[in-house]
Amino acid sequence: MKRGTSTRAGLALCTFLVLLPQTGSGQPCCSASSAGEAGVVGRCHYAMLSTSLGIEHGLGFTDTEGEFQPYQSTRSSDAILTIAGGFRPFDQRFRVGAAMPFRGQYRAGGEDSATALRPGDLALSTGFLVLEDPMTGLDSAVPFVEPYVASTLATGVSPDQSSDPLGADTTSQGASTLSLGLKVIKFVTPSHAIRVSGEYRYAFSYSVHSRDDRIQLQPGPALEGVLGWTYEGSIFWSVGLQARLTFRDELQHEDEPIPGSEMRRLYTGLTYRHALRFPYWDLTASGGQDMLLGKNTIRSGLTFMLGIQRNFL
Amino acid sequence: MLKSSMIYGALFILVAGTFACGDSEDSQDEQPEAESLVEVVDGWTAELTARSAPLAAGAETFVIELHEANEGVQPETFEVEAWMPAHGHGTMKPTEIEAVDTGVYEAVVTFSMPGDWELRVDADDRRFVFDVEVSP
Repeated sequence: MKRGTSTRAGLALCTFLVLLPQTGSGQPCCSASSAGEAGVVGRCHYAMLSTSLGIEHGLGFTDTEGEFQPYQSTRSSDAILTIAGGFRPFDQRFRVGAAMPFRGQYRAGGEDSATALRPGDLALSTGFLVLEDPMTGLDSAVPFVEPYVASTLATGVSPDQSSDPLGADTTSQGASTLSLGLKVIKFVTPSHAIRVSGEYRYAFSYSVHSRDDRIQLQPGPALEGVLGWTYEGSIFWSVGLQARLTFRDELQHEDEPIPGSEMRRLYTGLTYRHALRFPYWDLTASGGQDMLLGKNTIRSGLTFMLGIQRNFL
Repeated sequence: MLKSSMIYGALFILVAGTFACGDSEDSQDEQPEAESLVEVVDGWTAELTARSAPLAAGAETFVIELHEANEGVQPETFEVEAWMPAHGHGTMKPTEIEAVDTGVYEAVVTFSMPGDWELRVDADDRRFVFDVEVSP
């Protein structure tokens, strides 16, 4: 393979690995509200640091029947500053990363409104690249394959800890999570890559205040699948699309499932990457929505993100 | 040409998704009048009436009347809690309760978000559960 083509394909992969997870930041049910899989360093880089500013503008929510309910008197807008970093210790195939979001949230309902700035959930991830795509296209059947482990620590403010009547200071569900996933990326041409990944997410139980007691709730396990595509126009820019579908099983209280508490969310988004100073500085912009095919989402709407990233070779 | 087509295609998907979920005609429905909900537990009747309709996120006032054989009944203990079962949490602000007459209470509930809520009314050892919907 020509060196230029290889370099271009390598950069496309790096961009793909780094940018796609960042577009998934946000909600919580609840999503609420975590950084998702962030701080992922590209395969051809030794380390990365990034900061991004995201906007999540809620336009409604999906109810327990799966109907989207557009906001009328409710308002919800978030600004999320995320600081992330990652590096590859020991082995070029091994990576670790972390991302910490800080959320400024505005909520309004009826005559009331509130704004609060609080930390969100700390996200950690690590992965190992077990197979490498030669990036020559379909003449090779070998894709990139990376099993990974990710976790979110409930460092944000849970509804139980909230002191704001409208929950403007609520930045976490209150449950830490541990995920196992497998990410597969195949370059179908030297410029086009397809990503398929799947993740199983276990959430640890958490307690909430109910009357004078505390009750223990067990969130159901979640399954998440991502389908993505990226195209690299040149070494200076790339664009990608992704769809991420998440299912979470019912909450449980005293081993009894709570009817209607299962959640489904579909996020679709677009990411654009521009090299400010190749290969060290990248500017990324992304946008997406999660209003289609959802069920029992706390809020759904539009997301936008602008980030800058420093890569270290 | 190919690059432009792909970019426009991606933008179309995003924009189409956005407007597919825009305002619906339902949001222009006339506002219903407040209705009373009634629950009976162990011979006691609890009647819940909202001061306004439809309910919205934020503070809402309810009147709760307790009866036994058509007579107002005064419990020794009386509590109201709002709970969102699908999300596993209650209100961030405790419900304020004021007794206004024998077996008649006024409760100010601050809903933190729209959706399906339960109003759990505990009077002595009886629990009355009312399903209420907070409009978006």
